Amino acid sequence: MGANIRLENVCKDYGQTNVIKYVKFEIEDGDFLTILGPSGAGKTTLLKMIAGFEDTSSGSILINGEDIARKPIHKRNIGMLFQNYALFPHMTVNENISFPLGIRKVKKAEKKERVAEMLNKVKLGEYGKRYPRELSGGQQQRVALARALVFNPPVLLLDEPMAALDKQLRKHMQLEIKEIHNALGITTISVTHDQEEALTMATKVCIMKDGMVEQIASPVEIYERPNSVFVAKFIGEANVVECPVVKVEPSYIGIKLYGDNLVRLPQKSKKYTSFNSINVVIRPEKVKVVDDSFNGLRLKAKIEQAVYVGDVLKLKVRLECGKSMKVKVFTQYSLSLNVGDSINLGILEEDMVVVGR
Amino acid sequence: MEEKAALEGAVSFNKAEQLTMNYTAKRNKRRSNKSWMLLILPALFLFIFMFIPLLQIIKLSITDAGGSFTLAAYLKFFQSSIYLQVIALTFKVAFVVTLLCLLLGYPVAYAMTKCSKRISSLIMIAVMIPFWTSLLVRTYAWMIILQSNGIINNILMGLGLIKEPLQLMNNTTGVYIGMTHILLPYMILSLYPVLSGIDFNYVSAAQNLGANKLLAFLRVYLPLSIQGIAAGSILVFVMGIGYFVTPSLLGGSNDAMISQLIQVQVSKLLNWQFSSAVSIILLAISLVVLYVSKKLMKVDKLW
Repeated sequence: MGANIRLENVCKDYGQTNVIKYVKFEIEDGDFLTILGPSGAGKTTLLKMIAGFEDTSSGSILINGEDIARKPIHKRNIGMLFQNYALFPHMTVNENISFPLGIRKVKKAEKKERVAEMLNKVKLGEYGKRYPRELSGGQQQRVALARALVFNPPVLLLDEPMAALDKQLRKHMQLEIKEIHNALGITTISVTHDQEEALTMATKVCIMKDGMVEQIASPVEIYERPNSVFVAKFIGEANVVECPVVKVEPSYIGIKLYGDNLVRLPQKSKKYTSFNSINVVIRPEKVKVVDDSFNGLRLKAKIEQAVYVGDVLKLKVRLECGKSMKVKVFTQYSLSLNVGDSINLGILEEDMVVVGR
Repeated sequence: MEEKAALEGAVSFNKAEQLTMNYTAKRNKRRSNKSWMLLILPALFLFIFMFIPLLQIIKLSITDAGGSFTLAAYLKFFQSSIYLQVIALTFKVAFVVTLLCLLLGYPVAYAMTKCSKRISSLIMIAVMIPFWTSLLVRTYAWMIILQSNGIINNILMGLGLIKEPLQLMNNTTGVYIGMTHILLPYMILSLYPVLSGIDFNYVSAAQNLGANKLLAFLRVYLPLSIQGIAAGSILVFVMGIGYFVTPSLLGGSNDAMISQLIQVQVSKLLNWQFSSAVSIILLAISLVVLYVSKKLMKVDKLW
């Protein structure tokens, strides 16, 4: 049981400074949205506004059509996982989890049953009588999750959920939270600055910058079709090349890529009509080491740097036009590559993504 | 195979842990041996100037004029309803003053944790200045304010709110006002560090889970501040039990507290045996209060 969440022109001002500027998006029942952005982008502020810890300067936050932007915190009925979990230290695990039920005046027997059920769901059935300080970080997080979910809120907010965990546990909890999300179908909004976490957990990713939404889309689309240079560079690695436009036709545009290589790119729904130069994004792993039979753009390059990181070899190459480029090749194909080698690189036209700005 | 390796790993881990523990224990032992030496001088001081006189007072309280052992002074105290009334009044005053200090001090300490650094240090100064001012000066100041033709009565009569001056001193009201003012800083200074150590995220979490502000305070913030409440209350209560200057200057003749009883016995009646006995009773009461409150509030075990 989840909810549809819609933000309409949500703004937050501190005096003259606008921290959140006209944010609008909509997510569906059961979505898992991850808000990603550099620090200061306003992602935590936005989450706090949804939870009610910050007031909204203007705009509305609608949950299943009801505007909650001006509702007091305790009436919003939103589950939240705090960054440091905020488990009440003077209460046992059982007391912590039954806290929201007690507030809602749930009957004693039912309360006990639901707490036990929730504890089992987070695999901590035996730990009810312990105090939070007697639990490990991962266990504390599960208790916090159980407490946030036990009153069946339609929305779950996660504030940097993995920040306090070590790397090993982080991966484990990511999958566990995703599992719980799938099982309950609760609409979830998570804030993080870890892009891998965003891509692992989310059904939708929202990239924020300077208080505004840069792009909101599925993880695949965000990675494969970023709509700005910022998004392309923020998620994963990217070669961004500014290319002059030399031909504009209804069905395609002609650009010059890496020197004088002419490339035809099909026109998209948003058509290019001017001869202003455009930015093209090429992901390092889409560039291949090829021979003369390759059917696409071929570039001669010299390896300047090669870093072996296990599964892939990260290359920095210098092209004939003088520009440098990042290339990633799987080590199983590339063990013979060394610094100073001259190689042929190939890029397919479909792997060149035109972005704004 | 794997199991064995894991077992060996666990064993060697335990060994290592034990080694470090032994090492730390040894080091601590060595260190504490040395730090004992630092305590010699103050211990000596306490022994000569406090412990020996205390023993003498105990001895005084159980010997009669002829120098032979007697418990007459203690019997006299516990058999007379007057003296038991003095004890009851002393407890009542100390209790009410503790409660007033808590009610007045808690919001102040809370405000200090919530407002800006500049304002909170201003509040701290406002708390500390009376704390540093002489007790006698402050008590005399209260006499000027509270007397029949003092500021308060003059203002109230000038406004026509009352016809006769209110009896604000020479009774228990005066004692409450004076002692609360003088002991309030102790309460605030005990509460402040505990309150400022409470992560406000707990309150946010409580509200997020459905508690309104009052419930979040009662169920989460208040229990987390119990240590400060306990420390401040015990301090104020125990100090209040033995208070002398303020009750004798602001109180009436009918409501003498236990320390005034001791003073009268010594300086007016020269009854050293009885006054020593009362002093020991006061000391015993204070110790019992400390012990009971420590037993009741196993707060340090909670978190």
